[in-house]
Amino acid sequence: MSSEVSSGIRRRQAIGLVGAMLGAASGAIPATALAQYGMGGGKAFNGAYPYDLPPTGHYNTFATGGITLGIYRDLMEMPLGMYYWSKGTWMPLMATSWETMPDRNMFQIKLRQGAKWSDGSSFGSKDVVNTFLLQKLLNNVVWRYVDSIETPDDYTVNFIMGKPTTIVERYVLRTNITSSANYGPWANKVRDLMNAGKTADSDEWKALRKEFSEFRPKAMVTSGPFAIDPKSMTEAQVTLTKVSSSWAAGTVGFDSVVLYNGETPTISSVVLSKEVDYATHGFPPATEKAFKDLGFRILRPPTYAGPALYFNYAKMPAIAPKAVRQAIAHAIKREIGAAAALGESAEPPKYMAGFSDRLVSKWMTPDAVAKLNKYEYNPAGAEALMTGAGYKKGSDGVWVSPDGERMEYEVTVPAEFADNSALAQAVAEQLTAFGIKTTVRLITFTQLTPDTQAGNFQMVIQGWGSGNPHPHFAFVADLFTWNTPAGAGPGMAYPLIQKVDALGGEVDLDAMITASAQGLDVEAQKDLIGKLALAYNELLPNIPQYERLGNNPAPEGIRVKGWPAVGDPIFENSPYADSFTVMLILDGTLKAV
Amino acid sequence: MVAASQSLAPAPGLSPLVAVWHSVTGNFVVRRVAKALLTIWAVATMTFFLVRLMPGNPIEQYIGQLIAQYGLPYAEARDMAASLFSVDLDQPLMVQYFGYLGKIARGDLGMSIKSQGAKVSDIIVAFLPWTIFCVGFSLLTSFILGIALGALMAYWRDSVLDYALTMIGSLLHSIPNYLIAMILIIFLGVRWELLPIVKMRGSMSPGMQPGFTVAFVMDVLFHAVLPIITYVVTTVGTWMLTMKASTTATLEEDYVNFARAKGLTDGRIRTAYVGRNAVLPLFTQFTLSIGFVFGGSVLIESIFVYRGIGQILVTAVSGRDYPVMQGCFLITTASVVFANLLADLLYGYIDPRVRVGQ
Amino acid sequence: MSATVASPPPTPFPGIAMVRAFGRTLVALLRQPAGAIGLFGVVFFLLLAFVGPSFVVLDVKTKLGKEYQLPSSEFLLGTDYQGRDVFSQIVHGGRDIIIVATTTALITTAIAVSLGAMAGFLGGWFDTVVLAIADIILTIPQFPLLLVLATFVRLNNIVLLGVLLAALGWPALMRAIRSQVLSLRQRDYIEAARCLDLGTGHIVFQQILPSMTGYIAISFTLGMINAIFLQVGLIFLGLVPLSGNNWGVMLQLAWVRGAIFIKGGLGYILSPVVAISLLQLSLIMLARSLEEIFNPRLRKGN
Repeated sequence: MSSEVSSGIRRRQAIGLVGAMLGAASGAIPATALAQYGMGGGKAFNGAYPYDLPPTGHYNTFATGGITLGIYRDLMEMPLGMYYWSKGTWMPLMATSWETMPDRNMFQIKLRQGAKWSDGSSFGSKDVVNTFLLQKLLNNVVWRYVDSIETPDDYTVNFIMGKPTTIVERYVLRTNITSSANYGPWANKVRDLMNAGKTADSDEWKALRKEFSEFRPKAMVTSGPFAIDPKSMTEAQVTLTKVSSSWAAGTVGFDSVVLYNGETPTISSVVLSKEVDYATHGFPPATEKAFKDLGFRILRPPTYAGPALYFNYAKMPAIAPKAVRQAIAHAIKREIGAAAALGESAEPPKYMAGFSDRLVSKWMTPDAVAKLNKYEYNPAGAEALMTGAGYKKGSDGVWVSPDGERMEYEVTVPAEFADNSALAQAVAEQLTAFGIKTTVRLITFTQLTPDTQAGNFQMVIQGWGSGNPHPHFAFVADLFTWNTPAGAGPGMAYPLIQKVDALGGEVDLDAMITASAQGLDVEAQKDLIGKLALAYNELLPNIPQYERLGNNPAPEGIRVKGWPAVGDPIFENSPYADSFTVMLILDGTLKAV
Repeated sequence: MVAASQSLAPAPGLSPLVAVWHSVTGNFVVRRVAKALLTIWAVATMTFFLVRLMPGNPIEQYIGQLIAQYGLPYAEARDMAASLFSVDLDQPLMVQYFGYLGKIARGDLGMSIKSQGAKVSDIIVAFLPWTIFCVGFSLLTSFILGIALGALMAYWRDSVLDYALTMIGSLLHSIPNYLIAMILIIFLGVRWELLPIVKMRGSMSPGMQPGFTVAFVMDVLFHAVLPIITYVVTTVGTWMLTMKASTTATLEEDYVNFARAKGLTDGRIRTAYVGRNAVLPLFTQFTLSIGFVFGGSVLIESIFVYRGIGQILVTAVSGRDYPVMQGCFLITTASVVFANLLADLLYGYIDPRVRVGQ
Repeated sequence: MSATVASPPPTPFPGIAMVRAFGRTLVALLRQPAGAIGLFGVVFFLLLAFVGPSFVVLDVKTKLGKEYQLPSSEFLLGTDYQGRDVFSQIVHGGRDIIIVATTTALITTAIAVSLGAMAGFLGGWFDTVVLAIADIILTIPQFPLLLVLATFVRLNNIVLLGVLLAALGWPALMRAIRSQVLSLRQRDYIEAARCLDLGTGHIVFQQILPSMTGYIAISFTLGMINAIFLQVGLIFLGLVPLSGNNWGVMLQLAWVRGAIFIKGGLGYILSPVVAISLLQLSLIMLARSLEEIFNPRLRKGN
């Protein structure tokens, strides 16, 4: 028996040696080292997500460079729950139930009992509190609304809200809970500082923050069914091995999750060689076509965000009348730019409500929805709007404002983002044809944020919408992010006090957006969101061009089976915010072949 | 005027010191070491100032990334970024500069900005050996191969072999190495599917335990074979052609004719007389090529996804991670400078004429 | 220098001599197969890059459904990821590359000649400092330094790119010029010119440079080769913001967008690869042949 084994090993080594020599000589190496692959063994799920190798990468998941592995972190440092976007319900994970208690301005969660961390210690309320204390150290936004956290017992946590709001629910439930074994001592230091009355701008606080960012745990202690195997990590891939003691291990149908490292170009090749079962990278349409040619299924989950045409109100006075923007919306056939940019993965918005079409019916009454102008392609209507506002076309076919401004502009876009630059090209062509002479101005992507903030543009392609189920965040993106006074610079310089016919007079958009996420009364929020949508639809401060859909390859039958059918409501989840893939792994829908 | 020029002359008491100074600066080794240190200082100073003049800073970059990727509102992204990057970029420049020089002298290259708490020196230690291995191995292989082929070409001048090798040599030499790398991947990896390029990425296979085992050495070679082929193929032509010229020239020297006349065997003449004297001039070229190949590793490592300092440098430059950028560049330069120094000293030892002359 | 007025000796108009020398070189080049091929290659690429665009319209229109097509009669070199004609991009994509390469070579030569001549003539501390700087630049790995420098290049500023490349390219030529000046300095006619107090500039430009034209021409060509290697490398890594069409950008987009993995993408990725390689090859053959013409010793040695 033993001699058989050793002779087998000797033979393998001999083959390897010959192989390596052949390979070094001819460049063609038989797979000597390939026996090492799939080391997780058994049933593997292969994904892809970029990470940095140690020492740049590390296991302090609060600090920059932490190896969080994006959506796959939810399989390891589990959050309290994950959200079904379509149904509006939650998948309970480390929490089993929760409740908002308006009388005490309190959000109470009940934790899963009997759950264990991968190091054997038991999970409980201390872990939740410690995690949130470290979030406080790092200025996490949830602490704008939460004043304090109480733990009546090991499995109950109460969040006392100073500024009660419904959005705390999502902030809390989607937080990945970390183990006190690693982070407890640090949370205690935060507690000490708070007890000593120190605030976030004190020197002690800053010193602790710096010290904490340099903390390097040896490994990630996990509550979920998988944990990173540090030994398996190379620059090409990493294996997450099963933690059988996890409460969630039973339902999961895989023994390991292998994640390939890299950005789109690298991952494209891995997907094409059928090594990947699911990838969230944004693939160019032509690469996507190659996937389809191999028979791979492409999932198209909505991201609830996309590019819009922004105007700089300080630099183009002719754009100030809303009729001009309405005309522009009518003059652009959004399907053209969408198709040029991302093919099937770009979905032009129908409602132009300022947030994703998919959320419109959830937040607006049918009556209000009916009032939304859909801005269908209508060049004649657009001409009429321009003429009605007193604009005239010069002999060269370019519109001139009543003040004599000839409408000739640049639209700025990063050269490196091929989808956005294709969109800008399409928009420019159509605007020029309409009589607004537009040229594309390419900048390098690192200049995009500073230039937009500084108002260093005439028109620019920037984001609209937001990967959060509450439309408040979409309006923040549409009207605050690149605008005075919320942004870092003048940005588009669009005044937030506006006259809106649909709302019967002057409104303060700033106050409305802020209020739309306040309070515990969802109906009141819906009312505000409905009004904001009507205001946005009428004013069109910027013109959304499309909503980006994922184009995630999900080949079935190689290692994985059980993907739900097209149209399954789970595919309404944003692929980054609440990964349906992670949820389908956790609930056992996805299985090994 | 006259008085002034007189006062500049060394005082009599100082002349022994001056003599020592002259003997020290006149010393070959001291001069070379001083030159190496001067180069490193110049590079350290230059990168320090360059890096601070660069457009775009890491925090703005990170905020933009947060907004674009996670759709965070600006204020939220800014709060997060500011708390994560607890870096003081506002100190006076000269204070930062002297602090930086002092730290370098102590071997402290600072901390990464992008990965808070990661020491730049640790990052370099983790990546540099792979580049040195891959580049060093290739340089030596290419040098030895080139010398052998070049000598053959010189002996069989105007043969088919000579013409064929000359053609191939100039052809390969003229194509940029990154294009050769791409061609290797396109044809060997993708079109003809001869190589499992997906599995060959990286510098070793998952779970491979470093050590002096057959499995490990072969695994490392398996992952390095494409970069090595690329380096060798693109540099061997130069060595071949130079060696051929050098050997041809040596063959016509008087002492070779003399040796022939003495009746020494061809083999003895080739190795003892011609080989040695023809290779010597190539040695200086070898030292210069170190920097070139080392620099080129940036592109090759990116294309083959090979773990090395070049990859780190590219990431650091595009992410404006100043300390990592400075550290990588400084260490790359220092490696090249020291490799040059070593080669120079070695050359001086092999060929005494160098020490005496100049 | 004193202000002594000495009328310059009646030298023949240098233009005519130069034209004659150029003609002789051309003939010599065409006599060698390698030289002829190299020269034709370079002329071909110059025509392609500077005259071609007036005959071929750059295809910028996205054509859905025509992505990644293999070469055909409709698309001579196939199409890119947006269905745009690759051939028209190749025709339009050489201009920037050649302009940057030429700018680099020009500035390199200018710096090298002026510094080399001054160092050779003046000697002393100036010579020491220039030599030290040249030595340092020669030792620094160029490409990593360029990565750092390239971040200063704003979009489409190709002249600045050329200047950066030149800043690192001059030392080798400078040293050669310097040693040439040192040796020429000793010769009688230069001594005579010095005695006549004709001024450094006059001596360098009228007496020394003409005797070095061959060497400068070779260095110029080699400088272009190096500049092409470096600029395309930088563009390929995406570290020089260049938009529009040029072979480097094509290469980068083809790589980043995964054209190599798609059957129909072969024409798209190989076209810039082949174009750059052929241009480099032509330049190298030209340089080699020039070397043989101007340096007959080499011919004998080979």
